[in-house]
Amino acid sequence: MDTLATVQQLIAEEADLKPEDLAPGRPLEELGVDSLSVLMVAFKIEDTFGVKMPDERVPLRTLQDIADLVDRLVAQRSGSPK
Amino acid sequence: MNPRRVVVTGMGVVSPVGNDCGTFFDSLLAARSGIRRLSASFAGRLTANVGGEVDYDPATRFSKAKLGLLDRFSQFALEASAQAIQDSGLEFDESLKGSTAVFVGTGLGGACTIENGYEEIFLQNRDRVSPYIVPRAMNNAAAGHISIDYGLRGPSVTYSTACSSSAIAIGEACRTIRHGYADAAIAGGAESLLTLGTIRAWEALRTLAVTDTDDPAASCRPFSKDRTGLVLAEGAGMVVLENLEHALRRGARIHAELIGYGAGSDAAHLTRPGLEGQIEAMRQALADAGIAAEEVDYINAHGTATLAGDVIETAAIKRVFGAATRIPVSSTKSMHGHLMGATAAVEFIASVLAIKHRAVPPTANLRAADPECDLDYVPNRGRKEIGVRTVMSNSFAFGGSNAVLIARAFGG
Repeated sequence: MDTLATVQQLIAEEADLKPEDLAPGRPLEELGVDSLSVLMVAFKIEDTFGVKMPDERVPLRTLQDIADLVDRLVAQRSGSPK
Repeated sequence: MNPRRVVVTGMGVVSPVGNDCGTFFDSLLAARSGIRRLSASFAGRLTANVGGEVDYDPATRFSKAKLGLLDRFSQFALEASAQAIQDSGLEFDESLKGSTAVFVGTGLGGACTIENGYEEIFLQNRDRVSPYIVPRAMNNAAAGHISIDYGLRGPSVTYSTACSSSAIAIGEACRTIRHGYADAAIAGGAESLLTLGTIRAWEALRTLAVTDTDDPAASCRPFSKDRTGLVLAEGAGMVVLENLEHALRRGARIHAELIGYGAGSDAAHLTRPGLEGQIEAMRQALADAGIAAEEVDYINAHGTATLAGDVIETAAIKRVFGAATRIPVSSTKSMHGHLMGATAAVEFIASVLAIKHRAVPPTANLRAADPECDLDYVPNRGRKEIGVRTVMSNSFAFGGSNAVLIARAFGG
């Protein structure tokens, strides 16, 4: 699945915005997505992608940051030894 | 500085008998009960399967994003506040925003959110739960939201004294304005606790009404010989209180003046009501109002329909007003149920509406006279065209916290 597009959709739903308005490189705060919404999105990302968001606070300033993190987590999960 | 006079300039209500003041009071006068068999899917598991539910779709008022942060009790509080503020005609300029306080009463705050959270943790074994649980569930959430939505920078406080929560909230708001700490206040209460866990816990106390299977709406029977206990309900009542000078200067329409507030504790038993404590609270309110007992035209009783409570309140009223008093006393809980943290506010609003409409709401479902409860409880039929100038509203809570409010018609 297209990680960026999916994450864009999740954030748009959570923050009551249109996906098109979420430019991947712009800070989320500027787009009207506050920190609580980002926490909620992290929650939904875990469910959607079957990954676990790390406990250490990874800086998630932009949509691209989140998509990159999700790609890394999915790769780790697929690459882990059986 | 002389104590300022405090007036009620706006009212709003969300209740099992109506989601606006007009419908609310019409229903009460018509003895229309909003108590029903509970609609929730878990109702079949309950013995106490009736309650006062609010018929209300939050999606009509709040956007999806905003709803994420609002427990149902906060939704009710915001809806009632919006009505009250619109009713008052108040416009919040920067100065008024800085001098308006928010006083909310609630028993359990975000009860629905907490219960859903526990389901996720204990039943679904989720490792991570919604980050919104804390801000939704916290008891002060409603007050916080009201303050944020209207930009109100005065103190926002939340009182939790069980059944008297919103009477204390309104009374303390009144004192705050009287002594010049605020020019206005949004005050009242909100409650939404019709969850499986909450109702089960109440069932265990054996104080909930036995469902009247022939007529579930009649399950709450205050002062009646065949009463069996209280019926839980949800909703919110909010009023706008203002310092009189401020109200007059802006040409506000004044519903009534809040002239008396009495508060005290039984200091006796955690759940059993105390006669002396109730008497003291009523006397204190009368003294605060500077009026004699005979001047009260109507008492909205606490009247929960518990076996002990109704008898003790009757005895207390007789001690204050005289054993032979014919003052009309009614319990509107017979129709809207016991809204816990919100009930005092909703009943205070009913009392102020009695002044405005010159009409006294009845005690519904009063079918069998109890010799120990022999006051004029306005049985079953509301009374219109009555001179109602001064009203008293009683709230006597678990934990022994008692609060009494007195309102009077303004001017004329």
